[in-house]
Amino acid sequence: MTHLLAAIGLPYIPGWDELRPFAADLWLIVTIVAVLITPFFITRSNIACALVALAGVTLAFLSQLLVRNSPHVIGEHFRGLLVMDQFAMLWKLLLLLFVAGVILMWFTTTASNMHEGDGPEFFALLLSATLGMSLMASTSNLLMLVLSVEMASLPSYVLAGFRKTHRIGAEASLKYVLFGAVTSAVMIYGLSFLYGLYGTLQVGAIGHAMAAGAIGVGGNALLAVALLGLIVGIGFKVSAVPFHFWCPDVFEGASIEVTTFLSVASKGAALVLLIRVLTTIAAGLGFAPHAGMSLAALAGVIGVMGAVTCTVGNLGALVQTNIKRLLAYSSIAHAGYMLCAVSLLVRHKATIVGEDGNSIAAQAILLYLAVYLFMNLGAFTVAALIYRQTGSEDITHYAGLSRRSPLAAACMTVFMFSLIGLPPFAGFVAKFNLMWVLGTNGGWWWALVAVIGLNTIFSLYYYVRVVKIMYLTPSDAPALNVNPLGLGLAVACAAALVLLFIGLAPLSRVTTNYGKLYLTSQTQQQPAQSTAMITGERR
Amino acid sequence: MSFSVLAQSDISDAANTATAVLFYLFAIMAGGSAICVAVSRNIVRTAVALLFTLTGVAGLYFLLNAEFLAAVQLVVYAGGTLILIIFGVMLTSKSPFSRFEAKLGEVVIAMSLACVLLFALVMGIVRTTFATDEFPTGNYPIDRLGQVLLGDYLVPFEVVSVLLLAVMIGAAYLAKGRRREGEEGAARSGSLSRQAREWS
Repeated sequence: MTHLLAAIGLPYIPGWDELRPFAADLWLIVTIVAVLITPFFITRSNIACALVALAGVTLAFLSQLLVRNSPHVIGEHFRGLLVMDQFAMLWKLLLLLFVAGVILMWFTTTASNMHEGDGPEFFALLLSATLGMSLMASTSNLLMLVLSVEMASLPSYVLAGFRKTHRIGAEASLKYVLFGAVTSAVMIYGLSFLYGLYGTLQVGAIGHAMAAGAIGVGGNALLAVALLGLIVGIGFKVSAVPFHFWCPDVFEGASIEVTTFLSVASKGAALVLLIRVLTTIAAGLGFAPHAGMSLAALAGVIGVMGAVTCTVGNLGALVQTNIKRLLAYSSIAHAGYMLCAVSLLVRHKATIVGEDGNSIAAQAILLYLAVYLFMNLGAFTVAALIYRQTGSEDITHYAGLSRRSPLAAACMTVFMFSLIGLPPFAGFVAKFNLMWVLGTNGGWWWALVAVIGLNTIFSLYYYVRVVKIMYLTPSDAPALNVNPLGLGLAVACAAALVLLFIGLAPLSRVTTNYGKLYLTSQTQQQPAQSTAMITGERR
Repeated sequence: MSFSVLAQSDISDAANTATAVLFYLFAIMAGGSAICVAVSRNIVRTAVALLFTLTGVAGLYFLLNAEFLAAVQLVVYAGGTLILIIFGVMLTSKSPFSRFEAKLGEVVIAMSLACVLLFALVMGIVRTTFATDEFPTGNYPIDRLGQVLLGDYLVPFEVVSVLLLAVMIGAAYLAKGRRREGEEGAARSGSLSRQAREWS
């Protein structure tokens, strides 16, 4: 027996210490299986599956909450393939909280419409996409990067077209698949050049290899193509201009809880991944300009992309009358604001990464996402409640909502003002913090602050228009009998926004504490290299 | 002594020549049919050209001593995926010989972008020395591949299994027949869960 084991080599069995930090991801996998076997035992499987999924996500959230910042936890795991650090921890918590909210929202919107028997598929796909987005925060390896992005994307394509009898939904799904497939292909092609140039899949090792040696003019051209490919692939997920065309169509065609899910989770995960990869590379280079690898140029590209994205998003939203399309363009704009902050992470070490490794850009984005999650969940919930009652997603049908459903109208007003970034709501804290971080770095980041400020003024028009229609346009339509659970969810989101504004000091402290990225140091041992292992001599 | 050395170098020369000839053969096969894929307007012809591209790439893998990868390429892509594509075309398209028409402006923009990118890539690739590992000789160590998959790359291996499960569920859902509203669907799922209960 031992002879046999020695002949085939001892298998790698990850220890408890390695599995423990990823308890949330393991719970998600368990939940996917549980959701799939639920219909074997229960007849009304849709509701049962939703409850199982909700329970699983709650367990995942709690187990993630119990993961402590101990030295065992922070660092590379599974032979360098996954990374766990404070940044990933907080993102996972936010993601799971948000997905729990989306499942609650499902009860109020689609639960009664969905065909009996479609529930298991729906929740299995939703949770697998969540697993992918959770893994995206922990990738430190190009292979895991591609896998986690695909894990997040492929179920999302099906979710977008989940209403099979819905023509616009099918078109949206197809558009999403085609866009996604092309951008994935470009990204993987680009990453293959990164591997070819540096001979390793580890992002940290790639950064160190960049610092170690010049690769010549040709190599620099290929490096540019590789990074461009990465930006194309992730830009598609973020819906950054010019890869944003799918966003309004998919958001309009998908059912509303899928739209909500994609608007925050998918974009947030992509931003988190972008921060992780670029900061790891920048840390390998010591946050210093290097031959052939200009971090300033990279920051410039991302900053310009962010500025263009938020401007296009806001200008596009001005003419929308469908609430889902309006919120789609609004989400493009918010993704643009966050991209502006991403451009900071490649600035030099002193201002970006503090002495204890805090990344200011990561902090700004975590704080923004923590607030944005509630704003979008709430706004979409109110839109879904109104859709359930009136069958319309047109904002002109919101006329007189202040009389027809005063609480829903009040909640929607909170979300709209928060999305603009007005006090006393948390949206103000998030946007102000982001602009503050950009401003304190001076230089051309002031231009980004100006662009964001200008965009806030553009956005004022279309957000306030919704409020104006609800409160000032008269209507003799009957009062709405909105679903109490959905209204409760909306009120909870609105309350969260007010609370987060009041508790801005703890919020900022938590995000600062959690805005830490684990960055491999120069002395780290060389991680596993794929081909060297495969093509090595037979032992 | 000298005779045998001479013979050996002759043999290796011949082997190198054969490798070079095969390389160019497979490369032309892959590249040429890839151009056909892009240029052809008949979707069935495109699919057949793709078959030759994939086979040519598989041949290149063989020349790199990556027999396993080459076999996978042949079995999965040339064998499986391509048949699926052709079946998909036959089953979905109203006429199997449907044509794509692109506007002249689109063609011009796409061509110019593609040419710029091709130029950059060719110049870049020609002038770059890539990070190379030692060239594997002799038998491809397939047992190492298995060990690496269940060792260093255990996590991606497991994640792929979940991904494939999710994709399978999604595909099964999309392929499931479109039901009429109301009773039929309820009846079917009801009988399914009854069956499931009896079964369990």
